[in-house]
Order: sequence, then structure tokens, then C-alpha cells
Amino acid sequence: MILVERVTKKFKKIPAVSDLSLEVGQGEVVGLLGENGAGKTTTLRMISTVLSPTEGRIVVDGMDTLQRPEEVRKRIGILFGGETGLYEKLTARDNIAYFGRLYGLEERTIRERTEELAKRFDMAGFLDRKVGGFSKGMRQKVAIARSVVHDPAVILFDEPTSGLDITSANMFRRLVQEFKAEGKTILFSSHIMSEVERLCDRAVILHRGELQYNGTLEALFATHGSRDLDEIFMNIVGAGGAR
Amino acid sequence: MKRGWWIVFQKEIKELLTDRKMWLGSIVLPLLVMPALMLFIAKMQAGAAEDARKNINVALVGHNARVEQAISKIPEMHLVEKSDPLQALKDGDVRAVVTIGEQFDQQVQAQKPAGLTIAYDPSNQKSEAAHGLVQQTLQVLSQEVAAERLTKLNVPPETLLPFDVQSIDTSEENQKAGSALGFIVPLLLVLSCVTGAMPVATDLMAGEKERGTLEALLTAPVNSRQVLTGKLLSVSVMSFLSALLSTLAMVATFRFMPSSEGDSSQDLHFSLSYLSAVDVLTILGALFFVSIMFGALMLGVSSLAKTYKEAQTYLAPFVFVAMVPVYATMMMSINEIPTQYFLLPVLNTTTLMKEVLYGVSDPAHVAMVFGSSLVFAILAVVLTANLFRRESLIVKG
Repeated sequence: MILVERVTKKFKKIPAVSDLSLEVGQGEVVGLLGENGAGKTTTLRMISTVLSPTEGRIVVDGMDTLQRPEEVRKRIGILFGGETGLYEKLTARDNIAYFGRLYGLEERTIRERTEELAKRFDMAGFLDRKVGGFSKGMRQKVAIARSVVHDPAVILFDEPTSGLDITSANMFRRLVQEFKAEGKTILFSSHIMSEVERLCDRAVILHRGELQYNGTLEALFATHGSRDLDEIFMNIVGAGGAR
Repeated sequence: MKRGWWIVFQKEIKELLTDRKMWLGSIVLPLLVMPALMLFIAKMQAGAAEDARKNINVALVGHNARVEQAISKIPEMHLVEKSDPLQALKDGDVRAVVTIGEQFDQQVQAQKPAGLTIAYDPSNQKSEAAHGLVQQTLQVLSQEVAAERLTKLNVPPETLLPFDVQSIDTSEENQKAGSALGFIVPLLLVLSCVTGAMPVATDLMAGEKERGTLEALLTAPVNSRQVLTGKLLSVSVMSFLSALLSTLAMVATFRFMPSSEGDSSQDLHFSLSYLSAVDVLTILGALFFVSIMFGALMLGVSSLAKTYKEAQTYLAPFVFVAMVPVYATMMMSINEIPTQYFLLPVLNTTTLMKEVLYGVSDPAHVAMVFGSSLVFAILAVVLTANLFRRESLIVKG
């Protein structure tokens, strides 16, 4: 579903991602692990077509991100962590509807889908309130609803639980499991090892823009003779950093 | 399916109309504050001018019946006695001090130039006005005395007036109005375009960037040209709306504008009613292009900023950009304006407005201004489109 082939991204000749290759199959949940500045967000931005690779190519659902960016975007739902990217002066419903329209949905479909998502994410109580006064958890629910309003096949989450309280973080984890059950392809970046361990089929570890590991968690544990992902991550990053 | 730019435009306008900052900057300011300010200043000026013509206290040092009588004849002037007249002038208790020379009567009798001095304070407008009035009164008295002397010599007083010079006012009422309004109207309208666009451009680009909504928007399946078109249209509409409201507010304001008596524009009514529908359309058409140009440039500049506050700093000089062209033609009458002014950005619009307000309608100038403004608007849009396509718009640092 997602194919990243020998991709390099440079900003003013400084590489943020170097010669990265990875693949995410349909219905798979893959965790993108790395420290701050490892290249996780840049990778997600390239997959979502916001940034263009300097070298290499990215294909989503058979579409090249450089050749058919709008078609790729139709198939992707993306949520950036930290800032939820919501319009504060609009209501939660307006925020969701705006993106529904941008994704080309009919007004009737937008209404039905909004109600469905509101029920699913327990947002009915604040759907018609302006986002400006919302808590972080409420914002995150609206942002997720907005990013999946068009029912995308591929979902990208960038540090989705960053700054969330435990209830909201748990809600997010439950959602990922539900999306997985629906057969959606999910790639999410995180630096919370327990989250990755619980949710992901595979892990991709990046360090300073370079791929350090790409495989199942079981294989990773077996190779390192440990089930402590924090420890394994530190070993890998330490080794990568020393290179 | 609706076009992407239209969806973006609709959402921006909906959001703008719920924002107090936008209401204040783009609607309340041009509609209420500017006219209120103009009315206040005009009323203050009219009040000050009227005040300057009332209760004029003049101190007299020395005695001469004819001088005293001449001054007392002016109803607004009152002769007052002060122990220290010059100090009274400094303190503002009197507006002028007339000193009659010691030998005044004898010198008049001997038909020699008799000394009279008028002391006044040029830093005080009221004293300056009093000086003019006293000087005029004493001049008339001087002419009366001269006429009496000539009569005694059997010489007709007209002998000393070989020429009868008369001035004829050739300007029409609208030209007078245009001359008076040719500065303030273009200034206010172009400034309204800028002040209307500024908060919108700041919020729609730098504000969205800071809040992370721009990145989310760029992940939607709408190309960046459509997103920019929607935003540009929103900024331009608010800019144009602001100018339009300013025009309406100005028309209403001029109806209540006080005229100052004794002023050269005494009979001048500050009304824009002499403008035809074509004149109004010409002004609005020129402002339309300026709105697009400012809207595009402001969005472009705003895209260079990382935060809302940073964008405000970057956009502030646009106010000066709007003011300079107006000041450049301030002292020029319309027939002195060089033709190339009709081709320069912003200056072309303010010059055309000045011309239209003066009652001149030159289709060649209108074509030059509309054509050049269209080119500048396109250049501004292309420049901003290029700025909008760069990746640093999203990537911080």
C-alpha cells in the first residue's frame, strides 16, 4: 500500500532522510520509531505529498506521490501531533465538514459521516461548539475525525499521543485497533515504545535520517535476546549514532 | 463538486465574519472610526476658526480717538486695558497689542508717517488671526486719512489707484471640491485597502502556519493554486469591502462636515454628489486592482513569517507604501501630474482618483491605470504563488 523506495530528502543540502526504503502492506500497522530529528515527520510529510523527495520515489496505493499528488492525498488521512491543526473559530462540525468538502464528499455524505464519527469518538456533546475552548483530548478527537472523514485506506499519524492525557491516549490506541480491524493501513510515528509494542505489526527505526531496523517486533526481540524495546532502541540508536 | 478555491473562500469568509479582530480592522475601523476622526478634526478646526473670530481682546497703548474708534467698530474686537500689555499677550489674555507712537497725533497733523505697531504672537493661531484683522482695520483707516488729505488738496482719491485689479474665480464648484478632497479621499481609500487586507493576510497565512492548520490544509486533495486563490480572494474581498465601506462612510461624513466661515472654501460644500456613476465606478475599479495587488503581496509577505506577530511586523510598512504616492501628488494640480504617474503602482490609482475628483475624465488615463494595475496585480499574484509553492512554507527552521 505504501512503498518508499531509496528516498532521500535534503534541506539546503543537509539530509533529513537518507536512502530510506520501506513498505507497508494493506491492513498493516507499522510504527516509525526515532528520536527527535530522526526524520520521522519528514518521511510522513513526503508520503502525504506535502514535501517532495530529493531522490527516490514514493508510491501510495499504486500512485506516485510526485506524479499524482492529489490522487494520493484522496487515499490518505493524516494527523500531525502537537498542533492538531483545527480552526479555533469554527465548530467541531464545521472543521470536519470543511475537510469533507475538500475531499469532494457530498453534503449529505458529510452530514452522515460526521454523525457517525461523532458517535464513534463520543463527540456528540461538543460537536456544535467552537473548537477554541476545547481540551487537548477533545481537539484530538475532532482532528482524528477530520482526518478520516473521507474514510481513507491509508492513515498516517505523527506523534498522535504527544501531550495527551492517559484517557485520550487510550482512546487513540483503541481507535488504531479498530482501524486495523477495518483493514486500514496505518503508519504512525512515535517515541513511546510501549505504544508501538502494543499496536504495531512491524517497527521501522530511524536514526539521523537513516534506516536502522525494519521488521517485526518478534524478530527484533529475538535478534537482541530481549523483550525490552526501550533497551533495544537505545542499543540500535547508540550503534547508529556511533557510525 | 464544488471547486477547491470556492470551498476555501467560503470557509475563510465564514471564519472571518466570526472574528472580532477582523470586524474591528476591516469593518468598524473604516465605517466608524475614520469618519468619526475626520468629523472630530473638522469640527475642532471649525470650532477653533470660529473661536479665533470671537471675543478678540486687543490692548491699546497710547491714545488716538480715530484708531480707538476704528478698532471698536469691529463687533468681535474689544479694547481692554492692561497694566503690562506684552505680558498679557504672552499669557494669552489679549490677542494683540496696538501701540500708538508718542508723536502720533503731531505726525498725522504734519502729514508725516505716524508710527503704529501691532504686537502679536505668531505661535498662537488666535493671535495670528487677530493680527490680520487689526492690520486690515488700520489699513482701511490709513486709506481713509489719505483720501481726506487728497480731497483737501482737490485731488480725487482715485488718482492714487491707477489700476482696478479684479480677480475672477474660473474654477467650478466640483473643481474646488476636488482640489480639497483630492488629497484626503485617495489617502483614506488606499489606506482602507491596506488596513482591510492586513489583518486578514496576517491570519490566513502566518496565523494558519503558526496554528498548524496550513499544513493540514495542504494534505487535502486540492492543489496549492486553488488554496491560494481562495485565500487571495478572501483577502482582496475584505480589502475592497473596507475601501467600499470607507467610501460610503466618507459620503455620509461629508454631509455633516462643518464649513468654516471666513475661509476661502466658505461656499464649498464637502459633497461627493457631483460625481457621476461612471466616476464612482472608475474609482472602485481602480481600487479593485489595488485590493488584489495588496492582497497578493501581503499574503506573500505573510508567508515568509513564522508567527502572526512576525507577520504583523513585516506588513506594517505597507501603510507607508500606501501613503507615499498620495503625498507625492499632494501639492500638484492635476494638469501638472506627469503622464508616467498613471503607470506606476498605487501612484496610478491615487492620481486617477485625484483627477476624477477634480471632475476630469480622461479615458486614456483610465485605460493606462486599469491596464498597468492589472499587470501589477498579475505580477503580485505570480510572485505570491511562487512563495506559496516553496517547502519552507511548511518546514520550520
